[in-house]
Amino acid sequence: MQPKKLPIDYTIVFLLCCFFIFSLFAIYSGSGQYASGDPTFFVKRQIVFYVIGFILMAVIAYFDFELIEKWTLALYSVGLILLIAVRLIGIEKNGAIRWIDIGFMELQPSEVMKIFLVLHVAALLTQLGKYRLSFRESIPVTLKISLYTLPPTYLILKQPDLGTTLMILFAVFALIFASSISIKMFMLLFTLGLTGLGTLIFLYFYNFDLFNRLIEDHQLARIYGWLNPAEFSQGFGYQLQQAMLGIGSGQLSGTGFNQGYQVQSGRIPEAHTDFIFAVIGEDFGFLGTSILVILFFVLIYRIITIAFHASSLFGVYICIGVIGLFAFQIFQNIGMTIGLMPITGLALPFISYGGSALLTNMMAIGLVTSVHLRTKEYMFSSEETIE
Amino acid sequence: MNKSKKWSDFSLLQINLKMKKALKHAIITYCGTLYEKRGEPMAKQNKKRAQLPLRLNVLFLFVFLLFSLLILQLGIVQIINGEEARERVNQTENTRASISVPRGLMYDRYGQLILDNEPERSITYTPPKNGDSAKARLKIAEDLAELMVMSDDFKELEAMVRDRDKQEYWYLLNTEDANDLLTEEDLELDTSEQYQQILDYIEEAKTYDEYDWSDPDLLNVVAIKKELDQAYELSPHTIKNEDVTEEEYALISENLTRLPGIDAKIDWNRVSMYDGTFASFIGGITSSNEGIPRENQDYYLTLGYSRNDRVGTSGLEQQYESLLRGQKEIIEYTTDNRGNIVGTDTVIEGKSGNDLMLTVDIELQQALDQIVQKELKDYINQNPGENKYMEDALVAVLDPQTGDVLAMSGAHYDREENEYVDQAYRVIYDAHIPGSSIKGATVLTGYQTGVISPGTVIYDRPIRIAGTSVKQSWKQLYDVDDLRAIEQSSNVYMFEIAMRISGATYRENEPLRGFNPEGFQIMRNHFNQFGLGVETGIDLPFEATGVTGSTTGNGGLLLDFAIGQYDTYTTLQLAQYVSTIANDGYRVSPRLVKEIRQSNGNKETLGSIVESNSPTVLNRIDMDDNYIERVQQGFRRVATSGTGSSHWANSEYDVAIKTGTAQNYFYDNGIQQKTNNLTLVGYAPYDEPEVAFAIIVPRTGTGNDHNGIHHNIGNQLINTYFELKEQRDQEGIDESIIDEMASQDQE
Repeated sequence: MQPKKLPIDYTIVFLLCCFFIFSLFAIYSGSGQYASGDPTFFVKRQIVFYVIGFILMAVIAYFDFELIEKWTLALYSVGLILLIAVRLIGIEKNGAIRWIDIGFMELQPSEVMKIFLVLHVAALLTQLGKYRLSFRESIPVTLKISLYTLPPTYLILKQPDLGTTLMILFAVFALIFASSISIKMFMLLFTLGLTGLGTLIFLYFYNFDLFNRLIEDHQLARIYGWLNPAEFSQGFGYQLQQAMLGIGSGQLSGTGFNQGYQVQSGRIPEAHTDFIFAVIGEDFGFLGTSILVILFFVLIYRIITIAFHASSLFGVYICIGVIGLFAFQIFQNIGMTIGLMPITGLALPFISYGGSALLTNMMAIGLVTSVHLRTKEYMFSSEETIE
Repeated sequence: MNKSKKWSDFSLLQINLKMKKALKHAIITYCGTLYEKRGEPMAKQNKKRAQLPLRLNVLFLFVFLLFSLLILQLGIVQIINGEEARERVNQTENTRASISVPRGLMYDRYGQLILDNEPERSITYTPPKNGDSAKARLKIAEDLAELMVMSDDFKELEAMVRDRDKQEYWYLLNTEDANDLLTEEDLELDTSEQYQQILDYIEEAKTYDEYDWSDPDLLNVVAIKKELDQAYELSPHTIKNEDVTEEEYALISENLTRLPGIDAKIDWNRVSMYDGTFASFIGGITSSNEGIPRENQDYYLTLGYSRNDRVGTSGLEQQYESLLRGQKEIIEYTTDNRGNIVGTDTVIEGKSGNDLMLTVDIELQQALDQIVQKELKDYINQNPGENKYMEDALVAVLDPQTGDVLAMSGAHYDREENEYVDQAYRVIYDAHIPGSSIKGATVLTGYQTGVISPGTVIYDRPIRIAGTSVKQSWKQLYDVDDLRAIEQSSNVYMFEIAMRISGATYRENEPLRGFNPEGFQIMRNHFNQFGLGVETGIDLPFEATGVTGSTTGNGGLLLDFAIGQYDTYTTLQLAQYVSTIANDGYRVSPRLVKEIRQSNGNKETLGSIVESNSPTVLNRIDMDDNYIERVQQGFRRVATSGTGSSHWANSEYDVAIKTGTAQNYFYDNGIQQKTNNLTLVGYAPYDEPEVAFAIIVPRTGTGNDHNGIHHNIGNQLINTYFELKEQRDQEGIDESIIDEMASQDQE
């Protein structure tokens, strides 16, 4: 099943090139405070990651994604084993154990796992077919999906990595919502989630001891810092306050490349990774940030369009899963730098410095491209097309 | 402002455009499904099928909303609040520094300067916000060590540096080696525990001895570093303030730029102008390194003190802290975000502390101190064996009408050191059995309760109550009236008053019958009206009120109370008691501060009056004037023809007094020792009292009562008082200073 055209989607490639440029500028500006010898150290490495990423994407795009459908369980198992390996032989950084050393680089299995899990859930949902299930029919498959989702999310939560956990849950929810599972079941899950959240809030006010067993102090600190940055200006509140000051001081057109005071003086922590959006905000202002947000939106729009046209249900689900992952990650990362969300350790896709995340995201884009490339062939068999 | 508004409108426009686009998309999709629905025969299935695109659209809409939210919030953060954020970033940090002002001075009642401030060179270190690192401090210490020495004396220098300081020094220079000493287990500890652990290892290994600790220069560095370590952020810490040489001061002043946080400034030191006279009551203040007392830290911080401010911790320095401290000058430095100072602004003008004008007459005080000390010394030396328990002689002198404390003197013989020292605080701290001095209160209580009246005659004879030793006057006085009872100090007359008040009937050699213990309360209530057993109200942070004996059914004890052999009182309480009698029954609280005056930066003249303390009448003894007159007459007769006549009959001045000789029995090494407390209260002149006094000399030997140290002190006190007065009248006082004050006030 060879595609009849180049294995690329021009819109997506264009977007990736924009991200690439944004990323290099922002990393250069943001990593100045860390790189003592070579100011381009991180930039150079990011270029390498991007090159590898592009190749990886092209390779995946070239392959027929439908072949993967049969292998999702195996991939899922590999991911799970890697996660267990993290627990056993993982490397600790900043108080979290998320990485394993595989010689030439440090791998972050949770990054891979999120794709594998999305693939596997997509495969499970594909088996259901297109027709809507009744509530009762939805029960076994929902349980099945939960069974596959919970172990990796638990392992990731315990690393601890709340951000990735929530991102995965969000993607799975998106998939369930879009699938043929009864809307009642979705509403039930949604209500359960809300109830859980409500219970936590209730416990916080009325039984703090029990609450504290579920939510650890450092997690609570982030929420405090988010809700009241001025008062908790020592810890997470400080990061948020400094980041918001930096982004705000960019105003409309920014202070200019490498000119942001907040970033250059080191007041914004992790400026080349988690808080890279603050660099863009300060250096390039509202124009820079809104262009970037629009680019992200266009990316998601493009993936949605691909999903609309996709001829295979599995392909649609892959797109939805990827949208879920991206949308959450983008919203969470940007949101946390401007006070919309509590601070978690999620990177900004395609922009933040970091190999694992970039490669995973490229893999995801590769999958989507693969879906796209294999759509046109069935253009006229309207039976299978959705639009 | 306009610009940003325009742009936020623009972003809304964008959102609008996008929303339209999305809507269009949704409509197209929806129409598409409708179209399909019509085209397909199996409508039911199609209805089911339609869910995927619909749900995709909902998902898309949701994502769209999320991203719109981002853009909206970005608009708020960058456009609406951007200006403010930029200002805050570019801003300019304001740092406030406060410059201390001289503390208020103290003058005596005639304007003589008692307590002065003396400038003193001091070297301080003010750590920046969040402090300097240990290495930075070491660098400063090394630089500073080239310019100054903590002490010229090697022994002193050596004593300043502890082993721990040496270990810390070694650690700083060998941090990596030191960290290698940590075991795997230690790495689990938190950083401060690790640090302690390392220091322990260094101590064990004695590695720090590789440095030459006999080198004074090295010790000097470590001693300076130790001082630097003690400083709090943004708060000046004194490194050295005693014996800073002019050269050191000049050198450091010149090199301030390369000594971050170091400053050379002038501090103030309190100096007593009369060689410590009255120091007990003037009190003390903390050093700038002690700062505000830790136990009341929050209290002082809320009052705007900083940690290293000097505050009064005793005596008048504590009592009048709020007036003496003044207002620190606060200067705000504005720095840009690169740390350059771009402006200074005086936020609050500094104001020196207010000066206190005391009621004390420093010349009288000085003379009295000498008299008391000399008499105590002479008296003990006269008969050291007899007086082996004698240690103190205490005197309080008041103006009975205003309560002004004219002098308070307390000499103490330190038997261990064999020296005589000034411990005047004992006048208000130490309570003693007063003996007959308080009989004036007993007689007045008798009048007031109606058990006697002026002229009541009682037969003075030994009182024999079964089970107790015989109670009698110093000699049998036979029939005595109230006047003679005071004049001759009849104990029996007082016993009779006490027995009558308590409803007891006396029969020789029988127990007291019908004794009502309420008598204690009745008598104490009356005594309290004279200040006996209650606070006098003096303006000092603390005063003792004496020990109140227990209230029992033992009537004998009330008889003891009536002759001053039961409850104990301070010298100041006795002085207030006699002042109340001298002042026709008005009890006025003693005061040490007459006026509070603005500092005018000039020690020769006083500033204008801020506040003038008027005398505080605490209460008026609730009785007929003639009762008090009667006791006054009695007191006068003690001096002219009574128990004090041998010492006072020839006095130039019309004095009214009452003597007391209390039996003070106590146990020393399990053996009962018999001593006497000699007491004397009095006032002069009899007609128009202007000076009242109380004297207590505790634990004198029992064999030498009648050459009375208390009378000697009292006589000299009165003589000195009037001589000084006469002298001032003749010389027109040195009131020039006060005249000038008056003229200033008019201005």
